[in-house]
Amino acid sequence: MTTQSATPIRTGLARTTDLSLSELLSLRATGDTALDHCLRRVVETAALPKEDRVAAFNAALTRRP
Amino acid sequence: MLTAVAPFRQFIVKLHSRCNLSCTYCYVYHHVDQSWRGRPTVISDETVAALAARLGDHVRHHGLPRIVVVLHGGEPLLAGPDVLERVVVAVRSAVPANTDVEVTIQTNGTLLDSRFLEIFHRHSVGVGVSLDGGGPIENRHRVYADGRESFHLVERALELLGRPEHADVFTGVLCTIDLENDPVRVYEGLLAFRPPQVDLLLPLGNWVHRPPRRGPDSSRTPYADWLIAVFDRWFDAPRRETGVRLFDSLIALLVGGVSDTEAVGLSSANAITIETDGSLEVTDALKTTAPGLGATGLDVRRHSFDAAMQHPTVRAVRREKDNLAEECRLLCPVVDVCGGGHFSHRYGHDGSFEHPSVYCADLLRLIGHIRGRLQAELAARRAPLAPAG
Repeated sequence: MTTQSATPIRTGLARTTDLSLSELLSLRATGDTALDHCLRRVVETAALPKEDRVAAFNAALTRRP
Repeated sequence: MLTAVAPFRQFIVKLHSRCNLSCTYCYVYHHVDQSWRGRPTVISDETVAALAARLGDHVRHHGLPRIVVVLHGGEPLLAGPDVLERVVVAVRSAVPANTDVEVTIQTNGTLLDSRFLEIFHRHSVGVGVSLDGGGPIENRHRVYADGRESFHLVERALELLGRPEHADVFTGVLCTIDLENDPVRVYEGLLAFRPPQVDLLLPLGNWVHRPPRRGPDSSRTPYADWLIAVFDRWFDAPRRETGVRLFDSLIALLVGGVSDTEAVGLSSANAITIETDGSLEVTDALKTTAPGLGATGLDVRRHSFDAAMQHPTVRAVRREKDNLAEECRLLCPVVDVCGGGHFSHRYGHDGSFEHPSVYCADLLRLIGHIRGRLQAELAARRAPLAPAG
């Protein structure tokens, strides 16, 4: 389930289409494309500290939060 | 310019300094830094104890709720299951119970067997495999020292990891881009192993040691061309087939989110590398710039991680706009997305990193392409909601 973050997300690209990210999410065609997953993840992880997110170039992929 | 320090949250621990493969592009053995030759082959119990104690101090001092420990090499499985298990237990035992320690291992896969898998399950160790495509041709650079191919053993390991009972530990595949390989064939070959995620890595290179076919002509963008072919294949699939860390990160950055990788974006990995002798290195990527450039002169027996936080190179590699070349900071339209590319890709003939990425033209084209695809897709999704004129 997608949850909304407490803090607004600056969506530089989304602004060009005059839609908030939550509105974009509501426009998911099937909800299961690569883009759908990306948008959902941006919203779900927006409240997480960014320091915990970024992997070193040679780090194994982690299980996603 | 020196920037604010931040605690380390990611610890790349070298269990073994040698490798059973001799991949022709390897940044450890086949680049300018040859420091591996003087290191102990396996991390000792004494070094493991010192590492665990320092790590525990660091976590407590900074109140870190979560850290990531990446078991690495060389080939880490050469250290054997006992060493591997001792390191995981020592590290987890040293930090407060309320700190989440995610442990992963990055392996070439050739030695993976049921003994290791049992340990990975018991200690919840995520396993990443290095692989450049789905067949021996695509993996032509991943060979033994005598030239024998390694793919058949890696294929066996991936078939093992791909079984449903191992889904909890298989985290994905790291693939280094080889322009000689067909991009879509590489992607589809990797998909056959059902990795939950993939990352596509630009070969380590810079202005002094140029990546293959990355010449001075900025009108040519062979790496962008390669990545765009994979991106379109991935993006246009009716259902998402796997995550691609680079593409996920670029899309996230374009819509205002955060990158998952230090390859792009302006957020730092806050990582430190611990070699088998306990010495602390800033990042393995610097092994492709100049000998010893990644060394800090510090080690876990004598120095705290807080001491390493203050090291000038640790501060300099932080992914902040102030650390970028002036032309990147002032002129680049996508600097917040590319973040100047990977730090090591900026190394120039003057010995500094105040240059655009050697992949600048590729990154600009790739980001422009993804931005265009996103804008078109989002506009199309919006159209049905637009009020009738």
